[in-house]
Amino acid sequence: MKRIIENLKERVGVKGALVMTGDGVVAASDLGGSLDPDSVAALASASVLRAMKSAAELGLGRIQRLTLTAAFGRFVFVPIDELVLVVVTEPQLDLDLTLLEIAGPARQMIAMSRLDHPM
Amino acid sequence: MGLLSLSKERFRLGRLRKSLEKEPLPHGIAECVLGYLTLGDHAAAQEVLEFGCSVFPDAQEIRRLQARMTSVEGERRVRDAKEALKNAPTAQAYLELADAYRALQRDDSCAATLEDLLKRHGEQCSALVQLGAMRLERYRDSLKASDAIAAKSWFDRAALADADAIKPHYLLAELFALVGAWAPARACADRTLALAPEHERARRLLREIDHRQAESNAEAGSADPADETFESLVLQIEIARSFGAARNVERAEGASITMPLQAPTAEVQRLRETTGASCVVFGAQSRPSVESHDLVTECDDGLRERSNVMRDLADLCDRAARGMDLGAPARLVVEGADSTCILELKRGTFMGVLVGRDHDVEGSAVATRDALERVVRA
Repeated sequence: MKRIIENLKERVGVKGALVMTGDGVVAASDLGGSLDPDSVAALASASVLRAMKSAAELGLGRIQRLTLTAAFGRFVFVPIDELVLVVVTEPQLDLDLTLLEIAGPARQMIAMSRLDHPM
Repeated sequence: MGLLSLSKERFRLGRLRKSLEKEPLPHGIAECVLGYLTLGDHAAAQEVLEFGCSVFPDAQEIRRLQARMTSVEGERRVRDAKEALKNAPTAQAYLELADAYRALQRDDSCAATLEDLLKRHGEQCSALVQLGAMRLERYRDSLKASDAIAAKSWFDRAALADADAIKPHYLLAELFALVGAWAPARACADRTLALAPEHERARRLLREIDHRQAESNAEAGSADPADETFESLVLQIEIARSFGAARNVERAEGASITMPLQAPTAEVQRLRETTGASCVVFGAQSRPSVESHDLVTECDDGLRERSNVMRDLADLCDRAARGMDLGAPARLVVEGADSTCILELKRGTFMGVLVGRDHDVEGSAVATRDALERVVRA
């Protein structure tokens, strides 16, 4: 998991990444020192849970990705089974490219998660 | 990547490049550019990209790559400027680094660099003006009193540092006009014109101030801001914004309409047609505004319920962005297995669309942002 995060951090525009459980416990993180992983995980957990509820109310189906863009940064949340991958990127980068950069490591995590918890 | 793999990759890219020259393909060009970027060969990547731009000027992939290259170039400029500053910490070197940060929209780093410059070299008018301009820009989006007060303070210092500088007076005039402080706005515009009689923008601003002051005075029951201090005006605007009240927001916008959030129906319907969205909602983040001004526009049955969910999402986005120190939230995209919800936020309002899973998310988000901009600026 640490290798996946390191790999993600090497991508252009990615400032940091974190893997946490659905209830906000940090499994691995590298946010580059500017953000506190525990605070980010706590906020991210609450946000993802609320967004999941809203997605169900809106009939979006199972959440695959959540992207929050603000003035000074962008957070991408990818729920993967019981885990959530959180990636912090530059806000001005092209969103599609950012998501492409994240898709590979997210797939690796899904594969790892399936290995840990075979269906 | 080992040396052998590096040289193999370079060889592969060379062959790909040659084949693209004979038969250009957008995805091939994209692959080649990305390959060169991975190898760290920016010059080759730039050459291939330029070739791609000349052959496929409208291709999405090529445009995305251009944006990425700009970012990479920007980062390189920052590195070079940092190196130059390390070798010779002159005022010019600080300004170049600040410029490089600004080009990447890293305003916080830009501000920190300029403040370092002030600490090391004393009051420098251009640095002070840039610091003020950044806060003024931020104020236009946030309408926060602290931004306006900080911007004014930087401009005051800039005007003191160089009495003949035109920019601090002009920007002060813009700031005062933005919050409806007509008398100081006029005084600053007059000072600008005294220093530069040919300053056309100052002349236009002066006319605008006269026009808006006359409108403001004619507005029934409106408080006369003449007796109010700058600080009290900006605080009023911030409070009004947080409650979603339209009148003071309008004053800060400088718009000539009576209700900035009025009649978004046409925009909502147009957005629905252009994006093919199953539902479009425009609303204010805080419930009192919606209830008092009825800002939600419906397009199909049962939308009221969905609009409430979207408003909750907009509030969530606001809390999360501010909680993580990301500044004002701009966009939330929730991608589900069946469809996607895009929310654009601006100045206490939001525009939300629901599109199918196979829709172009970035394109729909851009169309939504443009629609929201148009409605809010009206």
